[in-house]
Amino acid sequence: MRRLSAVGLLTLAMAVWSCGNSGGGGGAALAGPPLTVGALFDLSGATADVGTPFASGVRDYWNWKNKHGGVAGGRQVILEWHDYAYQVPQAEQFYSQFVADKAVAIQGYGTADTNALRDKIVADKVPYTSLSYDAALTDPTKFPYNFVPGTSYSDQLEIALNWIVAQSPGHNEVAFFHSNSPFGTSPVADGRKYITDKHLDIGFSTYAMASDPTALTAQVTQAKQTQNAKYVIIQNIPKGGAAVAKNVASLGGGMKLICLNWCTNEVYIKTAGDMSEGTVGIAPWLPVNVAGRDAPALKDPIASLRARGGDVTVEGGLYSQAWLQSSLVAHAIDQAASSGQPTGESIRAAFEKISNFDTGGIAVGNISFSATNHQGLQGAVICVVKDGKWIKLEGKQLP
Amino acid sequence: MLAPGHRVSDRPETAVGRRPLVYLRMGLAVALVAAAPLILHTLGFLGLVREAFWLTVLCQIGIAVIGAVGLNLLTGASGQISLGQGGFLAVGAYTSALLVTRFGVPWPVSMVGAILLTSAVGTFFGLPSLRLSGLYLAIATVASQAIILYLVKNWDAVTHGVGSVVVPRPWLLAIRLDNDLAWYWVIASAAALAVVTATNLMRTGIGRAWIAVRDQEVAAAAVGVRVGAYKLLAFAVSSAYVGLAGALTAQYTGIVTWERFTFDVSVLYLAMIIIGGLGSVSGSVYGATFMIALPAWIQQLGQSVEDTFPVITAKLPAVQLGVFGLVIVVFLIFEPRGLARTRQRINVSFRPWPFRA
Amino acid sequence: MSTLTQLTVLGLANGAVLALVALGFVVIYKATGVVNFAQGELLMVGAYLVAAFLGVPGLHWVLALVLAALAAATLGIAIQVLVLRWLVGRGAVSVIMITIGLAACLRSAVQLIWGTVGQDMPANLPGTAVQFRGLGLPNAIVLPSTQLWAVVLAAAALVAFAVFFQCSRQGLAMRVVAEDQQVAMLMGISVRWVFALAWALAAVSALVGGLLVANISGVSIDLADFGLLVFPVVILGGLESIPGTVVGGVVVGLLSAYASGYLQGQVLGLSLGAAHDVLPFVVLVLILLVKPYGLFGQAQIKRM
Repeated sequence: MRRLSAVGLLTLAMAVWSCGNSGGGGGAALAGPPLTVGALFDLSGATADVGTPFASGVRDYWNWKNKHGGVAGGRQVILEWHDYAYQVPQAEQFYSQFVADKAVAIQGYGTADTNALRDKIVADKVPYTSLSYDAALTDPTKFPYNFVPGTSYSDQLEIALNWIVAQSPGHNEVAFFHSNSPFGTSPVADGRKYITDKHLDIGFSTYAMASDPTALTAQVTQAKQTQNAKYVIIQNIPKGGAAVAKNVASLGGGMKLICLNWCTNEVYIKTAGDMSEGTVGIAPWLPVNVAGRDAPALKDPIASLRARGGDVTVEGGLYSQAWLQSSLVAHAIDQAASSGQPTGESIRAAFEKISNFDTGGIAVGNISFSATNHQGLQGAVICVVKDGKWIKLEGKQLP
Repeated sequence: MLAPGHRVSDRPETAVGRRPLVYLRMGLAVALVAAAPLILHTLGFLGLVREAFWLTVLCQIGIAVIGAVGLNLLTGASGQISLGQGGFLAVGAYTSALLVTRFGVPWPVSMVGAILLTSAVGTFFGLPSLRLSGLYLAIATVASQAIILYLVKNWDAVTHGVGSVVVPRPWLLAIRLDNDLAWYWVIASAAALAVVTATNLMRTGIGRAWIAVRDQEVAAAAVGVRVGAYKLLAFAVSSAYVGLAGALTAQYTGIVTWERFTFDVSVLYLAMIIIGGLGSVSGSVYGATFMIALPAWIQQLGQSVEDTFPVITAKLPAVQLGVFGLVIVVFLIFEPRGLARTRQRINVSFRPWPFRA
Repeated sequence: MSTLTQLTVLGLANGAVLALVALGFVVIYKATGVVNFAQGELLMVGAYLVAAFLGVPGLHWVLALVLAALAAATLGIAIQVLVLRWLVGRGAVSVIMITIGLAACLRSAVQLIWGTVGQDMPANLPGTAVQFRGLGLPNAIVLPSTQLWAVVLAAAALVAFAVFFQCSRQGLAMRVVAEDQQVAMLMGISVRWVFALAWALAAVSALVGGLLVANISGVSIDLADFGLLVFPVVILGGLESIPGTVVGGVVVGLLSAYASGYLQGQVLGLSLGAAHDVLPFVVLVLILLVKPYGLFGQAQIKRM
């Protein structure tokens, strides 16, 4: 075999050498074979500061659930998770792996990827919850399989605008600093429409936050000096929110910061340090201090977080949020299993029947879905940072 | 008498003759490509590999081969360093996606449109090559990448900005192309077409003119080769291949986002042709296969050793990036002429068999 | 007016850092002929090293900076001795590619060691913001001390480098090697030592730049993105000229600051908010079309 093509050898060797686990190990099959749930996390990308504690919460929840009886009458759940680094192409690739592994539900992540996977989710009939609270995802006609376990970003922005108008009558200049991504631009159109429809006297300018650090300083300078904004609404994760807070402080302050839900958490306080003092937060999911240490839904997750050695004062809020959202998925699977094998469609139907799912005091209300409503929570609590902790400023507000 | 490996006929770009063995090699390659899904299925059936995952990887490799072949014609054969690959892929992908979604054009026509437009854009951005060379040309192509990416990310009206363009699943005759196996055949055919045309192109006067421009530009001009025209032709032809790769990406994945077309992608393609072998079409194939399969293999490896080395899965992107960098450094130090040269060495070492020294 | 002043200071601070980073790039190119695509990553690694040393309890910040600089210099020398030594005489593509490979390795190493979330730069340079009130302006002009320090320190570093190259023996040796390696070897100058020194200087200048930027914006992987901005700077300033890099850095820094500070809204559906990313590159292309070797560069004459 003088000229045996080395190409052939190389390719074959590569294919055989890479042993992959086909299906992964599962626990003992008690009442049936294990079910696969897919999860996308951002552990190393732009939103890693939120994604990391969230991922721990989701993974620990499913481990805990498997030890405490599993789902659907005793079946174990295999959580197939991947770090997609907030990149849509990676999300798309991992999504096809989930589908190939016959996941019955997927806990997705970002606005960009959840939107991009829209057609595939419908075609593959996989119920899909997400960390994205994009208002578009709550439309059952366009996104029949997506369920948003929170208050949409548009609703949150409207609540923030209402609060501003209530605080200072007259004309207000508002600077909207948002992540340069579909997550960031999600509420902008609805926000502008709200201002026009309600005839609010607000000058609304949007700033797509630059990743270049000094360009962000220039943008904050523009907001402060040229636009003369007195209120800054931040649609970003804690890292971005802290960057804005630091820039505002270094330019002498004079602007009130309002965070939407993804920087209304303890991670923001840790990242921004002293600069977080006085920031107002719009919270559909409550920080631990606002919920109160004895909130029923905090018991299991906090115990689990302590057991793994995590920092409860920083990660507690996001961790418990992840825990509860995963238990929502488990609940839907259980409900679907009560009438036969849990499939994508039956789990989706179960989601739509969820009414008043108890959030145990860590959310603004209980979670309800229906055939015409895929937004789980309505309204938000307004909090403020005082002495390094979030405290409640005003009770539940509706847009 | 020159030693084996140094004869003119051993250099990939000028090999002539040896027809029976060339046909044997071609036949083996075609057979391997055709049988790959079956091999995968068997291995998957035996529980050794995850079939669906590797089939996706094969499709990605096919698309990368087309792009790498194009880039190799430009950088390897003609000597015009280009770091703007990501931008041209974007032009191809968005053209095809927008033609289908906005104007309802049938998808094969959209692919032709993508090829033509990318070729035009590539020629335009190749104009600096008439005045610049080497480092300055590389920097100009970095600028072209940045400009195209800016347009992609910010021209909301056309490209949906930082969002994504979703392309519906296309139909080929009566078959809906919504699974990897169907796409594998489409992509493999396109890749085969690209490889064959590129190989033949290198053997024509155009290919030899490109090599002349690369090696001795002034002498080539003295002999009558129109240097400027051939440089622009190189950009045009190379961008046509890249446009095809971009259009296939759009149709295959169904999701067109700016993240697929960053500077890192340009770097990845350049790495493919350097590790594969500059100037060699078969090198592009090896390089594309290697650079796409490697991160995929690391991901699988990470999952199977998760208990002993959890760091791989926990920090997978960082590990993949590190291995990427190491591979480049190691290859450039130890095998600068790439995998094509490695294959040559293997061939050469087999030549005196069974009378091996 | 106040916006203009603040943006100008910011732009100068930005430009000063860019000039520092570009200086390292130019030093390497002049001495060794290598185009270093890893300069941005050296800046990022420098910032992380400074943050790490500053995090050591009880260590005075000046000492921490010195130690970090030594670590960076060692890294630079290691790159030259372990990696680039083998690529002497190779074509441009190979050299570019290997520095890109190094950049990927550095980025990966930082992610593996320090994670991806990013951190604050611990306190180092003293000072608070300088405020100018009055002057009939609605808002006070606030010049954060981090930006002022960036301008001052970068200028000092550039002057130090200029003095080094002009007046010291090692600087002279480097200039000789840059002119003609064979003559340098004939004169008894150790070319290998000069190459290592060039890389060490580049790493240290990148570290200072990283420190200054991280003071403004925190330590994170994104710092490496400064690397690509080096190219507009050196094209403006010429690949071979150190005063040129200062001019180039200031121009690009100011351009970037004004663009992100003033541009808003959309033109023909193209949103201008991110124009600051691309304007330096547009300027680069325009300059290359008119003056292929940069504003201050020397035309390369090829001898047959």
